[in-house]
Amino acid sequence: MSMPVFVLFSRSLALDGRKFLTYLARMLLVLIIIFSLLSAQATSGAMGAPGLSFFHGAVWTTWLFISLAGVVLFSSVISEEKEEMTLGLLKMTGLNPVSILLGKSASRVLGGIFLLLAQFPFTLLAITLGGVSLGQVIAAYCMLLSYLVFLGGLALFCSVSCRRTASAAGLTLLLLLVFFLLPWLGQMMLDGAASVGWISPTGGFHVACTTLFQWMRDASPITRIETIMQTGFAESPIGFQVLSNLGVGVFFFLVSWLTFERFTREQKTAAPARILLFRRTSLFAPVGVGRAWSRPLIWKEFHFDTGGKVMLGVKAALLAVTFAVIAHFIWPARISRPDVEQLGTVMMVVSLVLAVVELIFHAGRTFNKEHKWQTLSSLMLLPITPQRLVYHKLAGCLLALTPYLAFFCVGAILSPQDFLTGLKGILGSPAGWMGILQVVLILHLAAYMSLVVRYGGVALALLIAYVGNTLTFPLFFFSFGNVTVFLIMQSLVLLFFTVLLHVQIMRRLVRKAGE
Amino acid sequence: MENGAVLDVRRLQFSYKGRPALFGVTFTVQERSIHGFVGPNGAGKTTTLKILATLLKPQGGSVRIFDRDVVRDYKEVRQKLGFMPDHLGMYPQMTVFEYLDFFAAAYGMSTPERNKVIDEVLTLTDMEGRKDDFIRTLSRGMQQRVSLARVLAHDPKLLLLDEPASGLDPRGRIELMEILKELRRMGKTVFISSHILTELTTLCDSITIIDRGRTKYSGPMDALLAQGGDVVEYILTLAQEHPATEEALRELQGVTDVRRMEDGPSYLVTFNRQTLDVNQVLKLVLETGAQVVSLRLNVRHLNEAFMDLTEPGVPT
Repeated sequence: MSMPVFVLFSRSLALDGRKFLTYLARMLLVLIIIFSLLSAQATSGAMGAPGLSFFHGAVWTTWLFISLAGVVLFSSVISEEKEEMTLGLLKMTGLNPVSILLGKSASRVLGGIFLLLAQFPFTLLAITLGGVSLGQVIAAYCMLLSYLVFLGGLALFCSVSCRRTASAAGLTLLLLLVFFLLPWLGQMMLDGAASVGWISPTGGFHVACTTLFQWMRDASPITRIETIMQTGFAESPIGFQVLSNLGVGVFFFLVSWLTFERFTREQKTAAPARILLFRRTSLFAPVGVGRAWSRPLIWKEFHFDTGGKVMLGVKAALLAVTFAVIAHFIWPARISRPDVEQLGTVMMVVSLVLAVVELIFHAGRTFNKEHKWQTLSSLMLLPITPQRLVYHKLAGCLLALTPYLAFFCVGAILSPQDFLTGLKGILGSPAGWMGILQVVLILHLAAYMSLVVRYGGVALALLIAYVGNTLTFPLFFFSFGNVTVFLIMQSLVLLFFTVLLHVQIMRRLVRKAGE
Repeated sequence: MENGAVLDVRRLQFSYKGRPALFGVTFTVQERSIHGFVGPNGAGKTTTLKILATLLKPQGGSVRIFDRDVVRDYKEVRQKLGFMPDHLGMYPQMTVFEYLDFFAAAYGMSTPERNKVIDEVLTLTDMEGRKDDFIRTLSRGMQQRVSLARVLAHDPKLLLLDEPASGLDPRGRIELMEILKELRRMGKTVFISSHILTELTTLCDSITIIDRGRTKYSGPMDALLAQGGDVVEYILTLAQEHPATEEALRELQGVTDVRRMEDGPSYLVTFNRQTLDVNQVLKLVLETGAQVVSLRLNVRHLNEAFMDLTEPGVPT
């Protein structure tokens, strides 16, 4: 460990070892596992194979935890140094790229591995509850460990190549989505194109793409989890997924090493980018930023944080292309007779989901950016209350959702019956209200977390919401027995936490402005 | 509040998580003046400024700005003051014009009002030629100017400036001081925290020195520099050596000390101004036949006063 290449690595490990947060994270993960275990035991009378149910929940939760934490924590390893303008100083110390990459990245991946190892003995208890074999547990942890290495390598490359952490995290998430969704969406598009006669189903392109998608599916941890969870699983714990994930992780580490100097040679400002926001002196001024509105916070949020008018057009175009692809390629391959009404329903659902996702994303960024750029104190000094400030920012974000609203309306016009049924289903049932409250709570949680942590407020909020639901749903459900009572009680709990978070956001804003 | 005082701070107290930062800071600032606020690192300057700017709530004592309480009437107070923090805190992706337009609109100004005010503040800060430039492309000095322009955009009567000259080159500092003098002429009151004492000496009408959360001095700059009560020191410089003059001065009633200075035929004359006038001293010197080059009051430099009033070392 005294080799110069491991200097930063051993220092990072030593520092992590002294951090209270490291132990807290391990303790929390173990507590979640124990709580899930107790929950599975408590509800074992109503469910068959409680061990498998617990194991299933534990593995999926850990996979989600690795995915979210990985996107945030691993993708900031080098970009945070770039943002702080300290990477140049680090390079001047004589540390070579490998030692910097190892020190910054491998130590975090190793931290994740330690976290998994701390959880492992408790997961073994699933065997005693029944329905799970030792081979399944070992295979699951091999899968998780290899996925951790894969994500660590991928995020490290994004962190090296991007100037800002937000871009690095965005690129990591995008590549991850491509990895998980391309085999599925690509295959559907391929079959669609074949069904309308654009390509031959036996041609070279179709065969090559199908093979590629099959490899990607086999390398996906999602496919692997599904296989492991099957009763009678008896495969080797080191399968194609484990080897391919480890290989890709190492490959990305090597690529990061080879490209490190190229991407970090110049120290550039990490100021937020201004893309397609035209100045008042530009030829495209009519679709540019223009003058501040009488509600300037809405103007600022809409233009500078969500992308403004041009981004509205881009989103509308992307949505139009997506729906055209669904109507012309995917649909014919799956359903024999395309139906305009069904397309309307799909438009409503997709628009609504994307709008919620984008809103959560904005909620997790809006205050974090103000704090990061030290502009919060200037905003808090404006002669408006913190509540008004928050609502104006929210209004700016809502304006950015106009394309989704437009396509939602088109969908509602195409499919009025489904729209009315859906509206009645959401507003007229406790489950619908609980869903709405769930989204509102996640929005509040994302906004609050963005004021607590430097990076990954959204990821943390989603994780808390997921863990909260996973733990409380079965417990509440079996405690109340009656579904309606359970839904009402759960809604009240969500409402309570939303109000609590709302108050805390206001307090924290005032406190942060004074820091 | 005292007559003409726009800012009245009495026994101000504040702690960070039980660690006291201010132990009863007291001072007043007169209208249309430039008031310096100095102290060593960790003395409590920024905390005091944040309380004045309504960003922190005082935990003891009272702070009144234009006769309004900073806690109860914070909205009215915010309309009347402009705060420039020690960090720039700007939106780097905006242009200078967009940045100022945003803040002016946030203070409820109409578009014609904004046009006028933005032109005025850009002229004052000498940034009119850069108004369509992106903030991220400006140098630190220029960003300081834009920050000051932002503070002035809603025409505040009181300006709170925390280290406005930090990071500026000598030219930038001198130009900033000129802008502040111009603002005083325009009727603004300027409260400035700075470590650059040389410039504060000539700029400020009054000053407050704090150390370890306590006020060490607050009052007119002149009084601080000429501190010593009725006993004053004058430096007398002659064209050539004249021993009779030194003898005559020693015998003059009211003169407590005459010391020969090292550099040339100069004397440090100490006397009590209650019993002796400087004109009488000059008359006596001329009567002895000496040729006078200068006779001037020996004022302390602000650096000396600062060192005398503050304690060495870092607060624990």
